[in-house]
Amino acid sequence: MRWPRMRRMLQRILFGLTVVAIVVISLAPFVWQVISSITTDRELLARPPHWLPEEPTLDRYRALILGEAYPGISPALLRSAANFRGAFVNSLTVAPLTTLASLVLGTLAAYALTRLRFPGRQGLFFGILAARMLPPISLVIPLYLAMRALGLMDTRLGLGLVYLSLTLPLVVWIMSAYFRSIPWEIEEAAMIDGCSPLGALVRVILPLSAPGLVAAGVVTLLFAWNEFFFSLIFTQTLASKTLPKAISEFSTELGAGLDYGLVTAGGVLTSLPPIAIALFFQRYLVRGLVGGATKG
Amino acid sequence: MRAMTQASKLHTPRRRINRQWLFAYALLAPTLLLIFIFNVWPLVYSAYLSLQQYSLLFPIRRFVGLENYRFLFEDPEFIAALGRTLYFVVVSLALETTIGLAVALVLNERFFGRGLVRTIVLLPWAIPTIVNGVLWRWIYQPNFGALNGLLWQLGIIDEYVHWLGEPWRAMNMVILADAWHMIPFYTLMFLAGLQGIPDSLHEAARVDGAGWFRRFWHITLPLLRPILLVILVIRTIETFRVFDIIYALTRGGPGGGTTVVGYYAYEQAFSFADFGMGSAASMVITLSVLVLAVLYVKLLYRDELLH
Repeated sequence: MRWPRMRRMLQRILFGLTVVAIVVISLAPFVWQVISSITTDRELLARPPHWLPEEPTLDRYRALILGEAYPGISPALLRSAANFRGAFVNSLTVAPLTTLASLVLGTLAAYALTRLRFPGRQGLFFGILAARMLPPISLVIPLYLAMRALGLMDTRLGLGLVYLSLTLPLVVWIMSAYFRSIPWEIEEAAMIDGCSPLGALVRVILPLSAPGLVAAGVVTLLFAWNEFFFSLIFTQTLASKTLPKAISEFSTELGAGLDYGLVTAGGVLTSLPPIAIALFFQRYLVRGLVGGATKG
Repeated sequence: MRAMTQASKLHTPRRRINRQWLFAYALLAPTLLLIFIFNVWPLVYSAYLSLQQYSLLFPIRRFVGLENYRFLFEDPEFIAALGRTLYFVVVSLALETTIGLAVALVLNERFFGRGLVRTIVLLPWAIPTIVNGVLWRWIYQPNFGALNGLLWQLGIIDEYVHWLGEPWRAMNMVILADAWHMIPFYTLMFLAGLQGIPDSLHEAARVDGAGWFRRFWHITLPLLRPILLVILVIRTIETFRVFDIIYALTRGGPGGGTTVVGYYAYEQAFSFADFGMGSAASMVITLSVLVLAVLYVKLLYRDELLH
């Protein structure tokens, strides 16, 4: 009687410790980024590190958000910090607009692919799916040459169009899976009541697949906000530079004067929107990824 | 799927079929046009460029056949980059699948605060890859980094280590940083798979006297197979073309020790301005990924037939 109870308790303790370890490991690096971002330059160079800052400071956030100088910041660094606001505006323009366009166009395409009969349907569906697998590196050289020729280099429009082409397959994929789960009869009833096919889509099918729209929107938004590779190559100035590119420049442009303090503060600000979105829409995220992945 | 096809067969009057075709193509036109301009054409043009000598450093642009590919496969750096990529793919997938599944199994149990913990574990995945890169570069920093500080205070190391200063160690540290970022994706997918397994199966096995391990091996694992396959193929494709984390952490260094094929192709094209060679290297990546993509679509297609 004694032993099994002891064993169960031991098991429970071990399980609890495992959960605590999972939570700590998941949070620690990001928490360290937040702590570093409010630690003064002098304390950042402590050995061993100060795990909690003695004199916490919000100077770096003030520099990034308001463009204010703080003691010890070099003119070059202040310029980088001021660039951050412009990059924030660019990200805030490119990501939502890409998402909106992608949802509208992708939904229409998914509707055609799942609800209408026409020659080449199956082939087009798998063609669109296959486009999702293309490695960015295989597209970037011709796109670089084309965008230079067309004057789309270093524009938000150019970057947004590339993102749109990359997110469309994803939206088509997720929305097709949703449309397939909606019985054909519901739509038929609407059409008998006098709806056009497009009317049936907007009034009947879309409300029923709202979770799919949210899922596709969240996945697209996260992609467009976080994307780095194309931003690295297609954007150069504040005319189009997005946050990931701006961050990568804090950490390299300055060479030896690498400023980890400013990098961590910029990293926190850049991560907050996607973290908030992912956590808030967690349920939809799971549905979007898994629904799209298993129902194809 | 079958029901749908039947329905449209039954309920679409013949004379309207052509109008329906036009309507379908009109709805698809913007998507297809964008995918054609930004995905299909660049891919074809990239294949064409890979057969040319086209470098901004040489004045003459000319057709050279498979010369670029021959050069690639005779370049020990490229072969080494292929080897490093394979190492990155295999070690990442093994590590991430094991830990991702273990975490999912823990979070599938009932305990106080489970919902909150499930939300917390998602956090690393939401961080942009480039921010993850610079964050870990700060943690690995040789003189003031947190990893050195922590291990030193715990007495595990006697002196600070240059984590990214040596090729193999740097590669493994890059893999670790990427794993921290990507494991939540595995956990999320596995959890969804686990929730699809009815409790009654485990109950029945428990009544029959099967222990935890046997139930895991004979019930959980086989039922997770479909989602496991999907995860593996998606992640193989992603890790094969890894770039962001390498760029942020090591820039392919030290001494080329973390130069994977994706980074090699990028350097050829955008550091050495050699578009011919860059295209050839990227075509090698594309062909490798294409094989995996075909496999992927086939897997999904088979799944669809089963349902």
